[in-house]
Order: sequence, then C-alpha cells, then structure tokens
Amino acid sequence: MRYPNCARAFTAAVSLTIVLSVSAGPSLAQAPDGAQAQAALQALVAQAKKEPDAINGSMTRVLLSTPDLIKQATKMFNQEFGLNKTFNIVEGTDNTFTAQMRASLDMDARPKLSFYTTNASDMQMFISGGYIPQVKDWQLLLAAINPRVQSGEVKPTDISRASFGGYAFAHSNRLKGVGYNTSLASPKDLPQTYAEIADPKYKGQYAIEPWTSHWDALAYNYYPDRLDKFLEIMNAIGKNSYWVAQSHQLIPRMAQGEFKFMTLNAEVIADYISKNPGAPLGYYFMNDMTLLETTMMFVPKQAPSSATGTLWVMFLTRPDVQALRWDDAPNVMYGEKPSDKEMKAKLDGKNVWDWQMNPSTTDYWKWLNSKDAETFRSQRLKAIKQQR
Amino acid sequence: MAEQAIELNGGLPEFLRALRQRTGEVLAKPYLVPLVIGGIPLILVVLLSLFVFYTTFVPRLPTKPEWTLANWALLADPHLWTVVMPNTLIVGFGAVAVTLFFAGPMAWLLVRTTIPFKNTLLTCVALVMVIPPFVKSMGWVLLLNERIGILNRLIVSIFPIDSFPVSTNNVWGIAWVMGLTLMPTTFFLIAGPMRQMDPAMEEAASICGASKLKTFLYVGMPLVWPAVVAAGIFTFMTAISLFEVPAIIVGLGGSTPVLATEMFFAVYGGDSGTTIRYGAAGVYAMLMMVPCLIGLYFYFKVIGKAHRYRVVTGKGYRPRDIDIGWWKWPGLIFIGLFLLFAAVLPLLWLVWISVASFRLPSIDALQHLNFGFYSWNYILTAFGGWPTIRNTIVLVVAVCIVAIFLSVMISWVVVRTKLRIRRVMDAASILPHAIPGLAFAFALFILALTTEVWTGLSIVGTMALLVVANVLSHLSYTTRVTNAALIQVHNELEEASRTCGATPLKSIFFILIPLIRPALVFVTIWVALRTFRELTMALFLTGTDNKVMAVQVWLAWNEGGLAQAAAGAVVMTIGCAILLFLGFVVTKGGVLKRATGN
Amino acid sequence: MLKVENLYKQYATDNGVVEALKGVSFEVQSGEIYTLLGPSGCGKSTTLRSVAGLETASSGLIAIGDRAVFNGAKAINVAPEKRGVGMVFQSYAIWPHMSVAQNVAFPLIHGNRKVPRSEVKGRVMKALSMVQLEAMADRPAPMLSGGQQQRVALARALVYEPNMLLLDEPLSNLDAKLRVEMRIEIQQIIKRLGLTGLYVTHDQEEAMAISDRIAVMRDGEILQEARPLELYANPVNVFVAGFIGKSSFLDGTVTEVSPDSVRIKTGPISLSCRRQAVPAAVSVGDRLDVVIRPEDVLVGEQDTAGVGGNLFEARVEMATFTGGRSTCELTAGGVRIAAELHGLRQLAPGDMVKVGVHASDVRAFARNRDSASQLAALETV
Repeated sequence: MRYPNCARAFTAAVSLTIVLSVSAGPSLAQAPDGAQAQAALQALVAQAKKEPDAINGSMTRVLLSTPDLIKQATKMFNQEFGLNKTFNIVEGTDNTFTAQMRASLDMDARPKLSFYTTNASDMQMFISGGYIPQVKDWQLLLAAINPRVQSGEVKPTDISRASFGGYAFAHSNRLKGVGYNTSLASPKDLPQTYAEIADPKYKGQYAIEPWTSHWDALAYNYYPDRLDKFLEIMNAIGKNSYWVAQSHQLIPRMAQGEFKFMTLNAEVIADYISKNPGAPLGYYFMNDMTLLETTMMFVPKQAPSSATGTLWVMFLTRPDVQALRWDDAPNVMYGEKPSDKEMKAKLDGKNVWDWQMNPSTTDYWKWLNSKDAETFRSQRLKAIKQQR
Repeated sequence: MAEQAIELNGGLPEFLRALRQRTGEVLAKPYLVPLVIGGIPLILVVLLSLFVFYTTFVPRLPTKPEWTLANWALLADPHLWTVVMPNTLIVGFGAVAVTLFFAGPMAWLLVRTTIPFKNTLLTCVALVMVIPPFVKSMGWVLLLNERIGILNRLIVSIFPIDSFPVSTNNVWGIAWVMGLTLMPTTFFLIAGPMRQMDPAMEEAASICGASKLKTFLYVGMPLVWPAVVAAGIFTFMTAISLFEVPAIIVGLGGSTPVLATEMFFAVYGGDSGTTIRYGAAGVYAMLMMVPCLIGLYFYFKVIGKAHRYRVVTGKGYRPRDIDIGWWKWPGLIFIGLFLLFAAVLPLLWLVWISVASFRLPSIDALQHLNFGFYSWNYILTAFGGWPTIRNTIVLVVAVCIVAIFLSVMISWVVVRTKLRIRRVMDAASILPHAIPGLAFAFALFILALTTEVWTGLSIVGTMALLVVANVLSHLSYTTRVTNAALIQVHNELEEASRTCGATPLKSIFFILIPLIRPALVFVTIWVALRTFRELTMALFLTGTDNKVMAVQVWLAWNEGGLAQAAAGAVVMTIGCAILLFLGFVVTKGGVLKRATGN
Repeated sequence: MLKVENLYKQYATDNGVVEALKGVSFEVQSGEIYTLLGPSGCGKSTTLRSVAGLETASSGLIAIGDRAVFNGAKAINVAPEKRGVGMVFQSYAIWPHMSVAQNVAFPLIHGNRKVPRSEVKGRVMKALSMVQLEAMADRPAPMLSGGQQQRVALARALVYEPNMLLLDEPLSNLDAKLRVEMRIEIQQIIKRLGLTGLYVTHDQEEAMAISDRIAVMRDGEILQEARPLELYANPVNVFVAGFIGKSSFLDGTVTEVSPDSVRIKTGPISLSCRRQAVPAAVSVGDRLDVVIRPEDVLVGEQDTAGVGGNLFEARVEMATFTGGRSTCELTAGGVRIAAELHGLRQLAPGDMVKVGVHASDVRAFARNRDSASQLAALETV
C-alpha cells in the first residue's frame, strides 16, 4: 500500500497479503542513512527559503478542504522546516485540472501551480510526456520528512511506487466499489463480480459512472488476447444500465429508490452516508477485484516554487498531517471512526489491487495509455456510454 | 468607404486623394474613440471563434505546424446524425417552444393588461433567473420520474393506476427544464416591444370590426413578431450549448447524448489516460455554431425589419393597458403555474433537501429535519470562505462596469454611425452567443496561455481572465439592450450637445448615458445575476486567484455535500433576491419598467 | 457671414450611390435670415447639417465668418462643437433628464465656450428672459409644452451668444397657431440680437414670412434664390411656381406671338400673357405649361370687369368654405382651374360662372422633360 502505516493497519485488520507481497518493488533493504537524509533535506529547505513565501497548488476536497485545516497544516509545515510560507489551495474537479494542466504543459507554458493532485491513472501521460522531473534524492528526503520511513517501518517505494518512483507521491486512496439501496436489495442479490453485472436479470436496475477506470481491472483479465470478449461484456453492461452519470448526482437518486445499485468510489458513498445519517444506502466490494485508485501529488517541471512544493507534497504523507481532516471525510487508511472501520471490514478478504501491483499489470496499464490502445479506449468508452 | 471613393472618382490618383482625405476625416471623427474601444473586444471575439475553428485542423494543440482532418472524421459517425443531432435539435426547439409558450402570454398579460400584482409578478419572473440551473434540473428529476417522482407517486396514489410513466429523464425533460430556465430572458426580450406596440393601431383595427383575437393576430402579432423571432433564436442558441441541465437530467452519455455532453467528454476525457481531444471539442463547437449562425442570419433579417416597424411608434403616445376583466383570473393562474414550475417547486425542493437531505417529504421526515447547514460556518465553507466572497463581488462589479461600458461604445458605433463596419460589429457582438460556454472558456484559456508564452504576461488563473470571459460572453445580450436603448434616444439630443460646444465624448457621458440610464441599470442587474451564477466558464478557468461562489457551491455538491450545497444555493438565491429588490427600490420600479420597455 | 460653395454630398446606400447635394452654393450676409425651402429629400437639411458640422460633405467649401470650417480639397473639417454656431432642432432636442435652467446652462458648463461658474446663472436667466421663460427655470424640461420646449431650445442656442443661428424646421412640430406666433418671435429675436440666421423649412408660407432671402431647393440643387416677393412674382420654373402657392397647371399651345404679348390656347380657353412671362425662344405651335395662381383667378361679372380678353365661362365643380376664404374648382371644357374667393362668396356646384385672369397674372414655362419631372415632383409635395 501507499502508506506504511496504513499497510500496517491493513495487515492487522485485513489480510492484504497479496498486496504487500507484490508491492515491494526496488526498495532499500534498510532504513536510509539518517545523516545523508538530513543533508538532502537541509539542501531542499535552503532552496525553499529562496522561493517566494506565497505558494499555490491544487488539491482535492477530501483532504484539507477548509481554510482552517489548511492553516493548521501550514503552521505545522512552517514549524517543521523553519519556513514562513502561505499556501493557496485551489480546489477543483480532477478533470478540470487535468485538462488545464495538460493544456499548459502542451503549450509549454510555465505552470501556475507548484503542486498538483490527480488520479494515478492520469499520471502516466504526465510522466512519459516529460512534464514532471524526478525529485533528486527522493528516497532520502522521504526518510528525513516522514518519521515512519525513517524508522524503516515503511519503504519510500510504498509512497512513490514503481514507475512513479520519485515523480509522484501518494496522497489518498479511492476504492472502486458498489453502492446499493438497502431498502431495495441486499448484497446477496447483487452481482459479486464485475462480469456478473452483464447478467440480463440486472437490466435497468443499476447505474454506472462514465469514467472508464471502474472497468480497467475487468479489462486486464482479458488482456491481451481476449479484449473482444471484454468489450462484449462491457457492451452488455452499458446497454443494460439504467443510467450513466456522475456518482454525486446518482447517489441521492439511488437513495430515493430510482435504481438498486451502482458502481462508484467507495469513499464517495461512505462520505454521503456519514453526511446523511439514516439514508438507505450501503456499499460493498466485488469479489473478483477491488481497484485501488490512488490520488497522487506531484511538482511539475518549471514549477514556480519547486523546492517548497516538493517539501509540501512529502510533508502531506506524514500520518499526523493525514489526520487533519474534516469530520466527515473518510480516511480508510488512518481513520478510527466507525465508517472507516466499516470500510476496512468490508475489504476483508477482497482482492485489492492497483496498477503498480506487478509488472504484468503495469505493462497492461502502460499499453492502455499508449497510442496503440486508442481504438480500444474509444470502443470501451462507447460501450460504457451505450453509443454504438 | 474607400471602395465607394473608387466608384465615384475612378482612377488611382483620385483614389489616393480620397484615401488621404478619408484617413484625415476618420482621425478627426467623433466615432474614433468608441470605434477603437468597442472594436477591441470584438476583435478578441472573432479571434476566439477563428481559434476554435483552427483547433479542428491540428492534431493536438497549435504548438506544432501539423495539420489533420482526423477531427472532422467524427462527422462520419452515423450515431452523431441519428442520435446526437436530433436530440440537440429537440432540446433547442423544445426549449424555444416552452419559453415562448410561457413568455408570450405572460409578457402580454404583464405589460399590456390590467392584471393585478404586476410588479410583484415581474420581480418573481426576474428571480427565476437566479435559481441555478442545476437546482432546477435536480428538482425536476425528483419531481417527475416514473420510478421515484413525487408527482408520479402522488398521481398513482390518487388514481387507480399502477404507474404513471411520465418522466423528465429524457430529451423532452431537458427541453422542459431548459425552457423554464431560459424563460425570463425571453420574457424581457419580448416585453419591451410589446410595451411599445401602439395601441392606436390595435384600436384602428378593432374599429374596422376585427375581433379582439383577430386584432391581436393580424395587427398586434406582426408588430411583435420580430422580437419574438429574435428571442426564439436567442433561446435556441443558449439551449443547445448549456451543459449543466443535460448533464443532470439525462446524465453523461447513456441513451440521450446531446452535443453539449459530447463536448464535455472531448474536453474532459472521462477515459483514464486519454489525451484531451481539443480538435474534437472544436468540431462539436462548430456543430453548435452552425445552427446558431443560421439563426443569426435570420435574426439580423428580422432585426432589419424591426427597424422598419419601429417607425410606427410615433411621438407622444401613452401605452394604455387593456382591461381584461374576468380573464385576469385565468391569467393569474397561468402565471402562477409558471412560477410554480420554474421557481416554487425547485426552491421548495432545495430548501427541503437542505434540511431533510435525501428524505422524501413525510411525517417521519419532518422529525428528522436538520437545520445544521444553515449555520454560518457551513455556509461559509460551502462558499469557500471570505476570499471567495470577495472575489465574487469583485467579479460581478468588474464585469458589470466593463461589459456595460463596452456595450455602450459598440452600440454607439452600430446605431449612431453609418460606417460600413457597424454591421460587422453588430454581427461580431452577438457572435459569443453562438460559441458554447465551454468552447469559449477553452479557447480563452489557450489564448491566455499563448499570450503568456509569447509575452510573459501571466493571466491564467487570475480574476482578469474570468472577467474577460464573462464580459465577452455577455456582450451579445448587453449590446441588444443598449442598441435598443440608443435607437430610442433621438439623434438630435446628442447633436444638440455637439452644437452647444460639447465634445463627442462629453456628449456621450453627459447626455446619452444619463438618458439611457434606466436601460443600463436593468442590463447591469441582468449581467450581475448572470455573472453571479455563471458556472461553466468559471469552473474551467478556475485557478489560484479566481475562486468564486458558484464554483464552490457546485464543488460542494460535486463532492456529495448535497445538503450543504443546497443550503448554499438557498442563501445565494436569497442574496440575489435582496440585490434585485434593492435595484427595484433604488430605481423606484424603474428597472422592471425598463425591462419591459417603458 | 456664411459662404457655401459647390457643396457636393454622395453616400452609398443598399440601392446604390445617392447624390444628396449637387453643387450647392450660396452666401448669407451678416444680419440676414436666409431660408432653404423645399420638399423633403431636397437636400436642405443636409446643407444645414453640413454647415453645423453634423454631416460631412463629399466636397466643396463652407466658411463661417472668415473661417473655412469645411474644405473638401484641403481636408479641413472643423468639429461641430468648434464651429461656434447655435442650432435649433426640429425635435427641440431638449434633454429630458435636466431642468430648463440646466438645459440652457449646459453649453456654458460643458461647451468649449465656458464661462466662469459665477456668471452662468446670470447668463442663463438672461437667455430665458429673452424667450419669456424665466419663471420656468427650475421645471423639469419634459414638463413643458411643445412651444415652451422650443423656446428653451432657442434660449439654449442663444445663451453662448453665437453669431450664427441654424434652425432646422424648428416649428414643424407645433400646432398652426403657435407656429405663427413662434415664427414672429424667432424673427424678432434674430433681428434684435443682430444674428445671422440659416433657416430650413418645407413650409413656403413660413419661409415667406420669416426670410430676407429664400433659396428653393430640389434634388440637391438650388433652383432659385430670391427675396420672397420676387420669388412669388417671378418663379423661374414650374416647380418654383408650384411650390410657392398652389397653382393650377394648364397644358397650353402658343397660337400667336407679338413683341408685347403671347396668346396661348388651353382647351377651349384662350389666354394672353405678357411676353416676358413666357420663355424667350417661343414660337407659334410650342407647347407650354401655363401657371395660374388661385388667388389671381377672378370670378363673376363684377370682378372680371377689367381683365380684357382673358375671359371664359366655367362650371363650378366643387366649392369649399374654409373660413376667411373659399376655394373652388372650376372646369371649362375639360380644363381644371382652382380659384380662391372671399369667404362670404358662396358658389354651388353646377353653377356656371364668368371667369377672368389678368394677362399679367398668367405665366408660362417651356414644356420639356425637366418640367414634366418637376410637375410630377409637385404632385408628391
């Protein structure tokens, strides 16, 4: 998992042995050299001191969404590194920023923001496009900043894994799950694998999101030879679906009983349930796979304050900073609230995995992001949107 | 003008002489300042339109000299022609039908008859504009839906039927909600001319023995008809490019795609790892622009005729209100129904959702009401804190001032001069309306980036960019109003000022602007409300220094904070109501009178 | 004081190039009231507006005093606010958002002939007293009647003491009685202040009453320029003759030419007229347009006693009593002649009457394409 401590929590509460065993990658066997790490950190801090005091960046609402929380985090940050920075956090939907950032980088314009937050699935194009420089001594720096890395409890490669190594750093997690209306159905009556959704008996009873990421894991099972079969299943799912829309619009409608279940990000519905106690809503995870989508933070090329941005991105991986969340925000990894515990319980025995899980998945993921997969991608999107 | 000189004088030397004279004249001309000031935004508008067109021929972004026709290949997709375009046209024409169905009779009732509570009802119509489209859309989704609609359930419980299969979850639903959303603009566009219709002409016809209905159809209608057509085209153009309503009512994709949602996918992707299809987005934008441009052609034809019709409104006539007697009751019920559909039901839903969240109205639900979201802290969070509120105020004020100023300058050239370029300016000023908000924001964003790369002037993510976007996109409407206002002010009033020794600019500021002030106040309020709730462009252009309230409320709703967003929207609506009311009080009712063309 | 020379103006419309002015030239002496008279579209307003600077001519020259304010050849075009003329508009152009006093004070405050603030009030009141509106100074301008508004417009044009006053159909929006009063008042003020006036109107009676000299215009040209009396007595062509007064036009053929007189036959009527009153190169058999003013047509034994040979019988077709006068339409063998009689002389349709015209009251013009178009133009006036 991304976070050492969360991995711990998971090992204890959930049996995620597969995930842990494959997550190692090229890692340091021992805790990094403390003195070396401190030297690297001091160099970065010295550079940050030369940068302007005001720094801009984008984040999602899940973390640090209120001005108060940002102030708290800023205070801790300044105390930790002896700096005097103010952070201006821009919130927005992921796709707005992805589009903006993509355009800026395509135009070779200097980025406005010193750090960005986006989905792991969007990361590849930024890394391969050369839009993100690799942070020098990133493993040492993480060790110097995050106490759990320093103690060797967690490896730097758990935070910045595999092909993201040194480019992007995990920030929070999204687990792809299934939401349902508790007064219309129980999980027993609902599909237990993604492929089962195609069963005609569910026709008209479910909604899906237009984003393709839900189906990436399903497609992987058919890669590389049987993608036609996947498209067939996907097409049936799209055709039988009652509705295609964004989950935040669909959840209230599901709560009213318009349809039985839908695919969504588990933290979105968990958040909704905690904000609307008593709503007849529940969620579960599929048996075949539960895709873990990680929200990554990175510092782009030519960032206005790259050193400060790098410090901030790494600082945010610390457990004490991760704990700064508003009341309802779910925190599967660290949270101790009933809703957090509930999600961990639901994950018990499930097959959680992500794109950096093993070379084979990473290979599929790279292919998916390449030009060769263009036709496949557009066919898949059409299947989801029911557009023949 | 130079061509004309050639025609008249023939030969090169004369031409040069004429040209020199012409240049000298232009420099000394009173129209120089308005022409230059009004010309700059219009050049930008034309540039943006051309840019959108240009992106359709390049593979990615216009950074490299590469050409492609691949983007246009999407026109070969039969799905586009069999599903997307028909849907889009249904939305466009349907919305026009809905707006005219309500706006036509209501404009007549409220400006030409003795119907009671006029001012209150006019205020309500204006308020309909304030309720964010996503609120109306979501409200109707929960009101009329064969599975969960409150109205459907009510009907099923009253009548002995198993289901009431009427739903807004389709393309007709988009047209319906879109029509309700756009009705106020249409209303105010029609009400002005309807107010100016000379009752003497109607009387003349009725003396000839025509019945009231015939009088209206054959004498009244031809006079209002240009305004009705113009308003219809205006509505059509807005309806097919507004993204928020279809995104909620039929979702993204599914069986009911429209051009606006297709374009959303092109810009935002939706597919992990895909590149942004700038060119495809441009092609979709072009597809939207084509019907708009055809509409524009007819708009100008109709407007050209409207000038001829204008002659009939002679001096010194006072519009008289027609006594409709007993018919005021059906009239009031009709207006009441509209307000119920467009404002009361969605607003009630909004208020309900903000205190009862997902629960349907019931005795049980009443016990779970939670007014927690009306705490100041929550509202402030929904709005994104004080800086956001400050930004919003700055944005609204700046957009109003700049848009109105530019509008007056453009209209002055269009109405007051005989320059040939005035027609180009008139057409260019309405062009922003043909460009969908998303394409507009996108083109502006790229243009700003290009500016930054070339000149180092950084405006991406600033308030300035948002101001420019809003000003340009509102010019199409504001210039309609200022054009009409200027036509009503007799040329000689300004000329008198010139012969009294005042310079052209002094004449504009001391004579013209005070004379059209009521129209300016009205259009300012309109621009303020529109800017205040504008979302599509603000969302796309969001950056470090330009967060605004509409975006924050949308984000709150986007992140599942349904009740919080609803509470925010309720407060926003009340805020606008207060603003409108103040405008009403300050001008002693002049705003709404102006709005209806008195 | 004002000199206009060879003024041309063309502009393009959707239907091609229109020539609004075709070489208009005239001079107005200091202290004179000069009127441009003509039907709508004749170019009189365009000429006046070019003098004011509100329109730009294509070529020509305009000088006010000894200053050239427009010279097409040298590309001189002085802005209206710098020409130092006063102007009164047809629509009054009173600014409705200001009071009477504010309207009149505007040129002194915002114009380029500013005066010290302390003087403004005195000057405004002086101008208002000139038009007898001192008592109305604080009224909102739209609260005045049409006549009062026109007085305000006059005061506003006079307050900065221009030497030249331009009046563009100033009285056409007033009712008949007020029109007569105001034109006297305007004339008196201009004369009293020693101003030079350029006056534009389509009303020949108004022009006659107010002007020192009149230029009759048609189709962008000046047809005749003369003192009112001379214009009435000796119009140069059918158009001028028709425009000044309401004449009858008869289709005549010359039957006899002598050194002193010419005899013309029109239908059954044979009229003699003075030799000077017909075109110089006239010979027997030529066709002429005979013009007779209604007020010159004499009816009845008594009135026709001294007219000599110009006598004929006519039938009364129609008689209209209009108060001081009555107009009637007479026919003699298909020839229609209008006559104007004293109001108390009542004729009934069907009456046969004796009709006579003094030879000196008969005028005839050569009949050609020009005159035909002029006659056609008169129909539409």
